[in-house]
Amino acid sequence: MIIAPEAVEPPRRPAPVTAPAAPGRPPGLLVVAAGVAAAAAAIPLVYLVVRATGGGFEAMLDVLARPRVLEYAANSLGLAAAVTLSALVLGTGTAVVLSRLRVPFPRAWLLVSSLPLAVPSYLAGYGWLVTLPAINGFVPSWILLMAVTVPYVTLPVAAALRGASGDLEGVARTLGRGPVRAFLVATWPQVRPAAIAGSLLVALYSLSDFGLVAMMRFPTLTWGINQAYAASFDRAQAAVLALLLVVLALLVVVGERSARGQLPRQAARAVAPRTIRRGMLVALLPVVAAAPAVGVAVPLLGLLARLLEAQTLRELDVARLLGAVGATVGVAVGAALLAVLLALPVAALASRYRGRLVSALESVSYLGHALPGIVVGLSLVFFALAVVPVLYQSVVVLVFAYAVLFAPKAISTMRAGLGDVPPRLVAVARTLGDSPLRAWWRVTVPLALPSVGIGALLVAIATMKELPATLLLRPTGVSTLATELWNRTVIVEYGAAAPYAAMLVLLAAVPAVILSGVRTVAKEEL
Amino acid sequence: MSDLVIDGVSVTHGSTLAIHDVSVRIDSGDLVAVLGPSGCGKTTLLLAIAGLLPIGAGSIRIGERELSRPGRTVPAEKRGIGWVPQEASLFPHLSVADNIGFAVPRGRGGAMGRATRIAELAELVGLGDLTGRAPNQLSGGQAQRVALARALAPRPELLLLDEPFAALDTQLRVGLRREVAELLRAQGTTSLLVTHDQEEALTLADKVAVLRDGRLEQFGTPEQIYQHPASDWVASFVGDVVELDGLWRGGRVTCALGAVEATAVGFAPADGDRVRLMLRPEWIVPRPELLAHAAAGADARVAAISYAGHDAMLSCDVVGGPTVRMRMAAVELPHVGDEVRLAVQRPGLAFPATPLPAQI
Amino acid sequence: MRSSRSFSLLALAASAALLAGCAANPGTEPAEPGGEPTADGAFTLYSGRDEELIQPLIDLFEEQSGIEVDVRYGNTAELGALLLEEGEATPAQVFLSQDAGALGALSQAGLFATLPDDIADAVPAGFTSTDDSWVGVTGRARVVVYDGDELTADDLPDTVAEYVEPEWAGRLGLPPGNASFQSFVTALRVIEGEQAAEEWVEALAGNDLQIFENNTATLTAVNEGTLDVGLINHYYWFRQAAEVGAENMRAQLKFLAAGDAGSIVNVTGAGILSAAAQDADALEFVRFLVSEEAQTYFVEQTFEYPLLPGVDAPEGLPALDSLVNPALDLSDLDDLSTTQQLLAEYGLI
Repeated sequence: MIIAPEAVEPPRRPAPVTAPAAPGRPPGLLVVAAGVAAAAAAIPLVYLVVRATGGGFEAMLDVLARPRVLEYAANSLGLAAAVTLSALVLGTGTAVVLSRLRVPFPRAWLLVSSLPLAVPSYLAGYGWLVTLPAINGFVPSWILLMAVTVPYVTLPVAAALRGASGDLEGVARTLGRGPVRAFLVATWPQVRPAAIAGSLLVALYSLSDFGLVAMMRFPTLTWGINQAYAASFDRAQAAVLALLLVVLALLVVVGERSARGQLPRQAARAVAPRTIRRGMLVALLPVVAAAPAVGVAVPLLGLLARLLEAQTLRELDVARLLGAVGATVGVAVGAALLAVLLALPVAALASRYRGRLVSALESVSYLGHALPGIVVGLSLVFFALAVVPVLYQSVVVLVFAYAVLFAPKAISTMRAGLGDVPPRLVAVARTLGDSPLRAWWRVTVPLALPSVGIGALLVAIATMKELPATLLLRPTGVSTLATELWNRTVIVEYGAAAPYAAMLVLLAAVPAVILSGVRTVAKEEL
Repeated sequence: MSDLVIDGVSVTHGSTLAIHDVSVRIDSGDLVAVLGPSGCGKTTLLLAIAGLLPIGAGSIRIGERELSRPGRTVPAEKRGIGWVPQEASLFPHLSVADNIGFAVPRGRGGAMGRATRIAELAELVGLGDLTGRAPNQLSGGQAQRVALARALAPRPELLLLDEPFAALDTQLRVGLRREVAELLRAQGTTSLLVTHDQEEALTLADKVAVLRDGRLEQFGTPEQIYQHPASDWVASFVGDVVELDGLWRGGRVTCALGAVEATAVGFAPADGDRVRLMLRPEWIVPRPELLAHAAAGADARVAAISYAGHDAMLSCDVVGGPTVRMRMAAVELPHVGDEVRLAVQRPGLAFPATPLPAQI
Repeated sequence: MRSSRSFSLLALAASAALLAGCAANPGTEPAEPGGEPTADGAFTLYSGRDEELIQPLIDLFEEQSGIEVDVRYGNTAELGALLLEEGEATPAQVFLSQDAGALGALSQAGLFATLPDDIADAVPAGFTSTDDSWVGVTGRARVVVYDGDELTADDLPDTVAEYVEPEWAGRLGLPPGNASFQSFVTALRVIEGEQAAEEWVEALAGNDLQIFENNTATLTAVNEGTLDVGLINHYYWFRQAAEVGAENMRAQLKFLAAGDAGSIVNVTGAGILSAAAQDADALEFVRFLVSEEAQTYFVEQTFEYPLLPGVDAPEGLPALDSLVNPALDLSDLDDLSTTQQLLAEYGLI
């Protein structure tokens, strides 16, 4: 008879209006800025098309028809797939153990798990060869690449777990799900965007890596590209192979776009880490320690052993070492700033808008990361000489090359960070009189600043380790730690190389350590 | 200050029509509540007024100034409309002072001018000593006060409040909303308050707009809405009702409570038609002095009393009829088991004898 | 012309006109007209040779000549690719290469100036270019490196043909992408004929060949005992020996029979980029490279064969003359592309 007001409430709509600030069409200025960034990233692509078609269409087909090319491509794809999947599982597992279980010294563990970032893949490969000279082929390439790329998944997932609401997981548990299934049902969807974005970086890294596969004698496309340059000075052939690599990278990027998904972030309630049995902990910690052990400890110990038995351990030229440190830090800072600047509009666009244009701009921006350094380096030689010959072999072009190579690292982290800023806050700023751009600058950017910082640090680390593009584009006479290291290892002077290797890892470890400590968006407090 | 005119506005959200042909005129200085169940489109309407959503038909104006029409939306920042969203939505990277001062220009009047304005606003919402805090150090009520001060800072022509009290506990909610209403009236700010809480709408607002499934069901003073609902849906949405089946005859409905005087709402019944009589529980009164008069009222026995301090809800079994609920001041309450004679002290509302939709 | 080219490339960079760049490819400007040598006391060197080993020699040159040398180090192949990409716009005046292949490729692309006779003729024919576009600086012999713990020199065949016998299945390793190896295959084609060379490559590929990225990796594998025999250049062994001590070397060297393609000598060399044809500083440096002083330095420090007549080879090496193959002209070895097609056909590169 009496009807309570609640009783007449119609069924709730599935999606109440919470995101008013995402109109259909992106602002023109943003599209233009993202277009500029994408154009910069497209320079290598344009170069490759020019070079690949230079020899004529038939020559292109000839290259593609070689039986070895298919093998290269299959190897590249297989390696990237294996590395990405395993890094995804191991990285997520590590992050879960470190943020959801009561582990002694959790911060220290997170720090340790970030360290593989600081080790260049060629150094990891070399360190292992010193210890186990017989290893070669797919499996060691896979394991080592996984070890040095796992932090790309671990760190963002750990951050996302800190921000993820544990309530849902608790609800799932009360509904009869076991801990693993409850995690998969309730928490995984919240950390998935971060995990997938990290996996994209892992996949592109695997595709573009040359140093490690060369050491492990596993012939991928990058190996083929290098052979084409090194053996035949056949730029057309190298370009065709590189374009093939671009196609593979596009597959990866498109795959990531469809797998990404982004959930609106919910108010988070911190989850207290669970205490588990000692035996369980002892069983789990090796999982966490696996990547740092394989990617950092073993290679560095191997190098140390070499150092001790080397006879070329001469007096160290400290001034020279410091010079290289200075140059390395300088270009790394410059590259980080420029890459973030280029990445910002692309990330802003991709975090809020959909559509073909947005997809195209974002995808193109990722391509530089899939190409080996030598290709990007040569493309910028070509570009700089044609457009800004005055700047050729100047730091400007070198830093620009790093930005083209590594901006995708910043795009992927910043996209997630910007996407996590509640649109409602931007809308509030609008009603308080801010234009969209001003609101973005006053609200979105400061809130996403941690992710901008993470992006910058990732670029800085990658820049410190970069070798082939550095060799091609650095101002004559300027040496970074990576080139100095290369100088000495090519002539088997391990002893002389060791201080540079140590300094490089040490230097790259600084941003890596900072990374492990950066809290993500202030969203954790929203 | 000028009136806000919402003229035939429709808003589509994705592929669904969220707001359908809504027209309301809001007088300058009024506090108007937009009342409706969750998902009825009230937040959408608010966003359209704020300029955060484009409209598909109609127009939104303040005085002569057109703010929205299809294909043209004056941007939110150029409207001079303030917005207090759900859950405060303070900028987490700014202090309370900087949140309040977000829209106070730094240039004009110098730093002192800005600081003075912020202090003034903080004082206005009763948070004078908390300006140095970070948003995460505030309670829910304090956060809402900051959000209000922040929205008032640029002296908006119109203030939109989107369920600002929904997340607060009852006691805080009641106190704060009264305070806010007084504050808004004192400022003379035209305000639109979205709420799903009937009591909130009726107690605070000068006018109430009732929305249902994106359509405007009724617009009027709280009294009009409550005493003269435009439909049986509005009647039962804005307050408790007692429903009785009966027969229409010459302006009265013959039902379990006798022949009750009634007004037909939205239709013209003929004598002998079956109708549904709707009464508010407080319209029914026990009149012991009528116990002897068989013609008026109906005999009933008090079956249960739900005591609420200032008043009480009585469930009474009408002899040979249904159970009805009635509300009375808790001064001299009967006891359970007492016999009472029920009378209706004002005309009821007659609706067609079709069952209510969406009954659960 | 330059501004319009820049414009078209800008447009191209904006992904607007992908193919506009083909026509705008640099490298079409004519070389500087000839004239008297000019000197400004400095020049830029692209060195494909390693800094640790060549910089002391450059320091010596700077000290003696007062000429400042800006050196850009890189690996030979990458610098070759860089020079091809730079074309006429290169800031380099001199290119110092690890191998003749890169020099040949740049020479073919018309990037080198013709060297004056006193430089070009300093090195005997057979170890330098035939068209005086570059000059040989040092020699590097192809050798077999073997696991001294498992094998003795007598266990090893004397001709490269026998290393593809089933006996060596899975035991032989080499870097097929390496220019020196490819020069050797080219020599095989020249000496033994195309058919025999193809049969050899086919047998090699079908014999579970162990493929390495470069000579160092191959040598390391032998020295670590994971590979029985490898085909490399001689001086890699000497350098490793200098690093860890010759007595500690597990890997040992075997020189193949004189006249066998497996024992050919490759050369490193230097060329002057065409725009610097008249650069006196650059000329003086290249002249210095083939001087007795520099040649002696190479013998003592890098264990390479000197090419200047009258300078003695490093101790422990067979005389260069004994390795010279009269049937082979180094200029015949510039046809790398056929060799690469052959290697590619059998899946080696």
